[in-house]
Amino acid sequence: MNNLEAIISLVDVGVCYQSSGSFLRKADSHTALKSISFDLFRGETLGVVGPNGAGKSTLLRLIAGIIQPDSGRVINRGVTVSLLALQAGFDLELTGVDNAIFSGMLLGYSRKQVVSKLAEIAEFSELGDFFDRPVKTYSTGMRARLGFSVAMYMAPDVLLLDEILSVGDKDFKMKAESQMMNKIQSSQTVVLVSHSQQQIERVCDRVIEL
Amino acid sequence: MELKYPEKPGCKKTPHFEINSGYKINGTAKSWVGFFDLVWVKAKLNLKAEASKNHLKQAWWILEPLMYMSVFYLIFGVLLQRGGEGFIPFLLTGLIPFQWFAKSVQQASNSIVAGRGIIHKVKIYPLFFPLVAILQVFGKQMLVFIMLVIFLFFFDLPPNVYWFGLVPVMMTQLLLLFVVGAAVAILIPFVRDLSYLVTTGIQFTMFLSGVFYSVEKIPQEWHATFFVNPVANILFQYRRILINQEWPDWSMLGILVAALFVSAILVVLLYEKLGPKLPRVLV
Repeated sequence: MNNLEAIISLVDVGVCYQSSGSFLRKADSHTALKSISFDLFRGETLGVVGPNGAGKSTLLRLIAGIIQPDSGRVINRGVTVSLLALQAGFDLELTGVDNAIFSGMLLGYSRKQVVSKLAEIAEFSELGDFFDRPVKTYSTGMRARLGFSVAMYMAPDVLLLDEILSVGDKDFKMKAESQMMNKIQSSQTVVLVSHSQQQIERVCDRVIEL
Repeated sequence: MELKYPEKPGCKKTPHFEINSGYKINGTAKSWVGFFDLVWVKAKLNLKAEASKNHLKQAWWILEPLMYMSVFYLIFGVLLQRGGEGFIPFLLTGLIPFQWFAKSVQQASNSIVAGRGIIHKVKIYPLFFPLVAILQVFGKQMLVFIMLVIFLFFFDLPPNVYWFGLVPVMMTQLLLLFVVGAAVAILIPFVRDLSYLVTTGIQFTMFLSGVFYSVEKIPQEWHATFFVNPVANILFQYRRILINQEWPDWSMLGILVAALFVSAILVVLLYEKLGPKLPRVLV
């Protein structure tokens, strides 16, 4: 690794889930992650592999700051980080434009920044006139295309991927996949969770096994 | 846990995207501006979405409260012959601000639970949800207040200089809505049973706040206790301005504002404490 600027560090992090109890049932708990420590470096693609239930998704949620660790520390050195959240905060009654604006703002961009990307989002999503119509009139594929386009153009400093998603019909799927691969191989910092060892080895600079 | 460092000489790095950093609440002015802009945009979009759902669109924002008030007028003003002359303006000046309170608390109370989809996907300060609800209801209620102005005009109570007193009273009510709405919203995810109490609590507050009766109707020794209820205090202030044509009772209002400020700080502390736990309790 040439670039060793650690932008996020996990120090001895542990997460323990507790199910809520009631009058009749005692709360029980299980450990999702135990003593995890590593640094995430700027520009790298870090793979995370492990069997089901090993805590891969929990690890992503920790890095995203969605959940807090029960022990240890997650240190973010001033970068924006988010999960690839397709259709985050979408409201079916609103138009594609309105949804793109709110979704982009939710991912950490200012309204102005999102508006400046609208033309690209509209073009990439291939929605045409539908971009100005309510999302409830969209097909499932069209919604997925809009969600994917917003997420691609409104990327944070650190992008967290739970599996490389591919969405939409056959043609769009290919386009989405190639766009995603471009992003992974660019200077974008990525943490990628995948079941496919092969895929991880193909695209990642480093791998963590949980 | 095992960390591997495979050699990847062929990994091509081509910058494609300009990477911007947006808001995350970290105490900087920019992050707060971003947060409030997000609240503002969401409230506006929610109103737009709400209006697009039905044929009469925004007209419902006036029709619905109009129908609601007609029911109370029919029961108390016509059937029970309560209040006598001047009862209608008295009823309206209580019901309209009360409805604002009731709708805001109702909408805010469920806002965090309803926003769980977002909470699981992105890092967001949970105060976002009740604030959007309060702002959204505020937008609609302002139309109802305009309607009230028109009604009062017809009842020979036209605008006068004392109406400037409405500004501090309405600001106080907003602060009250924030305290109650935000507190209930953050507690419900942890104690779901509370959501059953919200509607009953609002009804209870309505009967305790003098919407249908004036404070003179209750024995003098109960007045102080009656005004411990902040809604009763606020409705009293509205009526002083709109019906009696006087300034608000500044000392009563001042005490309420002070108490609400302290409560607002406590609510923010509650969010600091419980907010990070939300993604784990909202399943």
